[in-house]
Amino acid sequence: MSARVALLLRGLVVLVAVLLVVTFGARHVPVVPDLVLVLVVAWALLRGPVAGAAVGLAAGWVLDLVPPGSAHLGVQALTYAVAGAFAGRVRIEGPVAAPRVALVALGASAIVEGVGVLGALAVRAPVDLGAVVVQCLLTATVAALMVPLVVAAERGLVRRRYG
Amino acid sequence: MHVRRTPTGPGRAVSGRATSGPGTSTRSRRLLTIALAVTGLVVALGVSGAAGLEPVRGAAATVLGPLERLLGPRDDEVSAARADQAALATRLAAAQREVAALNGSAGILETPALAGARLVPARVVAVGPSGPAGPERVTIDAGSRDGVEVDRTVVAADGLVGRVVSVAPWTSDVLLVGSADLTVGVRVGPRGVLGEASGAALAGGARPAPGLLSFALVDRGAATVGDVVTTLGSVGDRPFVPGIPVGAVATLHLGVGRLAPTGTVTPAVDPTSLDVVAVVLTAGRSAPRPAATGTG
Repeated sequence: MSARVALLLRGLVVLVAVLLVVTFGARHVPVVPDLVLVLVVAWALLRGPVAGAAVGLAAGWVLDLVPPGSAHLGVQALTYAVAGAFAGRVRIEGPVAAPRVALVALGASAIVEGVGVLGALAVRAPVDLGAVVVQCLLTATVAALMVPLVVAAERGLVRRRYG
Repeated sequence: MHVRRTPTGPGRAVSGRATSGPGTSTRSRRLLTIALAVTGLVVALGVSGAAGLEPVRGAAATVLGPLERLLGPRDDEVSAARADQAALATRLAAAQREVAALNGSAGILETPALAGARLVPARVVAVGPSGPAGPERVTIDAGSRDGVEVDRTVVAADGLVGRVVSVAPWTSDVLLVGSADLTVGVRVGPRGVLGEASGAALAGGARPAPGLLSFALVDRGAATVGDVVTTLGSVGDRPFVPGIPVGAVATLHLGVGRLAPTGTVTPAVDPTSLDVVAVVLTAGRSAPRPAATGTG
C-alpha cells in the first residue's frame, strides 16, 4: 500500500467522523462527542507535536468546510492544530494507559471548547458551562475507548506498508 | 512550540517515517508552518471581510451537501405534517399583518407586495458543532436548484428559525436565531413597539442566559413580560419577512444604563429540536403602490 493510499484512507476517516458528528446533530442527539478531536489526539499521541498539529490543521479544515461549517473559515483548523500540538507534546514513548489517554483528550477538548467559550464571551453571548463540561468529559471517555482502536489500525497500515 | 523539537530516531520507527531523514522532517515542519500561516491569513481575511470566501464554502458544500442529504434523516408522515403546519403558520402571519394594517389605519391601501409567499419546505440534515450555548448553524436539504437564495427567511411552524447565509446547488446553510452573529429587528406586543433581538448581549443589556435572546427596545415604549415578539421585516423582505413570531418577552429591565428597556426573549423555536423548516421566497414588489387622495 503506497503512502498516498494510506493518506487518502486517513482523510476518509476524518471526513466520515465529521459527517457523523453533523448528522448526529440533525437526529437530535443531545451531546455529540467530538470524534474529530479523538482522531487528532490518537494520531498526535502516536506521532508527536508536529504531526499532531498538521493532522489537527487538516481535520479542522474539514470541519470548517463540511456544511454548515463554522462562522469564520479557518478558525476550527487553527484550534484543532493547537489541540493536536498539545496532545503530541505530552506524548510518551511506549504503551499509553487509558486514563492518560482520557486526560490528554480532556485537555485537548478543553482547548477546543475554551476557544469557543472565549469567542462567545468576547461578543457577550451566553455560555452554558455545564454543557461544555459534559461535552469535554464525553469526548475524553470516547477517546479512552477509541484511541487504542485508531492506534491499532494505524500500526496495521504501517505494517502493511513496510512489512 | 514545534520548532524547538529535534527529530528523533527510535520513536519515529513506529510512525512509518523510518526511511525519512532529518531533511524530510525539517521540510514537513516548514510545510506545517506555511499551512498554519495560510490558515491564519484565511481567518484574518474572513473576519475582516476583506475577501469573500463564499466560493470556497460553496465548492465544499456542492461536493459534500449531497452526501449529507443522503445521511440525513428521512421524510416521514410527521415531517410532512410539520411542513404543512409551517406553511399555514406563515400564511397566517401574512394575513394577520394585512388585517392589522387595515384595522390600524383604515384606508391604507392594500399592498401588492402581500401576494401569497412561496415556501420551499426543507429538512435539517446537518447541525454544526455546538457553540458554547447550543447550535448556531444548520444545513438544510434545499439549495439554489430549489430557488433558495442567500438572505432568505427560514421559518418553522412555531416561528422564526434564522436566515440563509450560504447556498450550494443541493443544500444551504442557515444561521439560527440565538447565534451571536444574528440580530433581528422586531415588533413587541399588540402595539408593535420597535426593538431588536440578538443572540449576543445588545448595547446596555445584560448577557442573556443560555437559550434566551437579548432584547432591547429602540426607544421608550411599553412592553410587558409575555408580549409576543414578531419580526419587523426588512427592505425587500430580505433577510426577514415581517410578522413571523420570534418569541415572547421573558424578562424586562428598566433603566439599566439606557433610556429604553432591555430584557430577554424566549425564542419560539427550539434550535436543538429543529426538523422540518421552510424557506420563504417572497417576490420583491415590482408594481408601484397606487397613490390615494385623502377624503377628510
